[in-house]
Amino acid sequence: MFTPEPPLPFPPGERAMADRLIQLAAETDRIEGYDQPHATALARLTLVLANEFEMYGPDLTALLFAALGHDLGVRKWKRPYLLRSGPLSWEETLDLWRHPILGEQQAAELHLPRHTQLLIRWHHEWWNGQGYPDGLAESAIPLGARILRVADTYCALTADRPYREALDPLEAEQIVADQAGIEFDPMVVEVLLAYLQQERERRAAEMIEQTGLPEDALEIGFAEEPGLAPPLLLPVFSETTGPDTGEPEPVPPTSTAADPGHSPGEADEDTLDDPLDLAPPLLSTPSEVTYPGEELALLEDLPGETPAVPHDGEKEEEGR
Amino acid sequence: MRAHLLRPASASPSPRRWLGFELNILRRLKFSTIAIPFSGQPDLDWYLKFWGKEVHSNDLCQWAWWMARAYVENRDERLGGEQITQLLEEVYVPPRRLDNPVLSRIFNELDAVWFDNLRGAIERLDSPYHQALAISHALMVGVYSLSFPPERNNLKRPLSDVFRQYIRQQREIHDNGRSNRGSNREATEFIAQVEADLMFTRFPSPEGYAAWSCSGADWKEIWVRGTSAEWEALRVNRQGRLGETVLSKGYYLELVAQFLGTARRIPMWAIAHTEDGFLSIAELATLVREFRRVEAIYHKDFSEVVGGHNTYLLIAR
Repeated sequence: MFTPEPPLPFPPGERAMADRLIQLAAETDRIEGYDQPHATALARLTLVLANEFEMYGPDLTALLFAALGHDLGVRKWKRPYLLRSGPLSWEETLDLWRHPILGEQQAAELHLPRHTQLLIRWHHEWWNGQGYPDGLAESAIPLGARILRVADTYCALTADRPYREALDPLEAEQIVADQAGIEFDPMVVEVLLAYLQQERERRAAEMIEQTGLPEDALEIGFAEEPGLAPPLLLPVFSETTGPDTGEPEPVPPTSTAADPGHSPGEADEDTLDDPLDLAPPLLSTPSEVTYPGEELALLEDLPGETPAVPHDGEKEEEGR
Repeated sequence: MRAHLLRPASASPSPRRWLGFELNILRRLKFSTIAIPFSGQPDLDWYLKFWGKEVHSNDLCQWAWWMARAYVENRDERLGGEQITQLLEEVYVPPRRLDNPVLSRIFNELDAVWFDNLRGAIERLDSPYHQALAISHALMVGVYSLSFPPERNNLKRPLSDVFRQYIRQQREIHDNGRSNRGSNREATEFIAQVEADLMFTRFPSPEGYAAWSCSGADWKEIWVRGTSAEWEALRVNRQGRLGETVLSKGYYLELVAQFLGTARRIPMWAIAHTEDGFLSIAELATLVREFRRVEAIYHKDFSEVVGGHNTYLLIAR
């Protein structure tokens, strides 16, 4: 039986803005060629994580606004490469890196809270400092932005994209787990994985109740990673993959660096032996390598980004 | 979960940089050669190199210098399969004793062995740029290792795997045809001799290097140097120089003024400043005006979020 999902918990006074953002997000989804609504899925997962971190009131509202509006910058400039399969050129990658700054500006134009604007600006910052646009690292990245980074990636990996099919949820979890401490805050990853595990157990219990299958048919197991790594606490059974065969399942190359999830060009061929080869982090792609003389696209003059103050001025102009 | 938000600061110093903001302004300026006396992690330097600028990157810390050698000075060398094998083949073999015993106070036992062995293997690489690249990747692996408190170790991967991943994802090494250099000198000495038409700087905090050391964030330097002794000596010998611990604004401004007096020979300055309650941009601008005209002050307000600040970039020439 179809059960409609409950509306996101915005205060009555913020509902109109939320509806407006959902509408804009739908436009962004169309531009990016997504079949499923990405921003609302992201907002729902963000809400789950935010609850785990006990975020309430205006902080929660600002975060949910940021989840809905995180790709306003993409909507702004509608690049054709978003729909193309294959890796991006360096120039395209740098161009893509502009979207958080453009998104911040779009959020300001919509009169979204400053907190929301900054979360949108920083939703591609990486835990290890190699994200963009500001290269923030670890706890210097606001918690909300760290949540968005993880949730955005997980939602992107588990949804169809114009250039690839959706990954199996367990594959997506493994990718997210592997990027903990690199792209993602390990604390946020831990909370996400625990939530997904709980959901799996809940669904399994529901299935038992509905089908009358014996309980051990749906027992949840744990995989042990070979080598020196401690075991990853990831279940090896799901509705889609079936029981663990003992063999590691291949994970297709993908990108967690961005949603849009293209992966810029890669390093030496002889080192590309890992199927979990993820997108290079931020600072890896100069446009000048392939397009000498061209202006760098990433950080081009953006109105309001860096207001100048007249000579010897004491009156610094306010940023947004 | 709220308690987790109050965990102590991480083991690496939170950068007080705002790369997007700073690059956005620098790209508006006309210059050919830039000197960066307090570089830290040379991310901005790397960008500028790819914009075709000649970059002279300096830091007193050797870890930052090695990174500058890898990404700024290095023209086209990369780590190949042979070097990677050489680096990692015996990296988990427990030694009789650690060459750098301080590592055991920084990392868990297994990771301390890994870092100690890797440092030795890096020494055996032939090319200084291969060494620099390996050190740079290992530094990132160190950040990775220290990101996992014991209760979160279930998410931690073997360090060699992470090291390989960083090699695969390393930044593009590009020869821009300029004589880019990384230096490891006292900032004033560096700025007294470097030839450049723009200086970009973000001055050290009044707490200086000592605060960095006390926070435990100096592990990078201890690992790169192979000992904590030299670093301690450098730290202690900073009296009268920018980067020593100062307790008053007056003394801090005096040290900044000394530095700017030396930097007078460089035609244009871009000074990044983040207001954190100690020194205002107005006070800094007043000091700079004693040397030259302040042409513009760019401002970005990040203060809405916890840990965010008003940040500025002052242009003077």
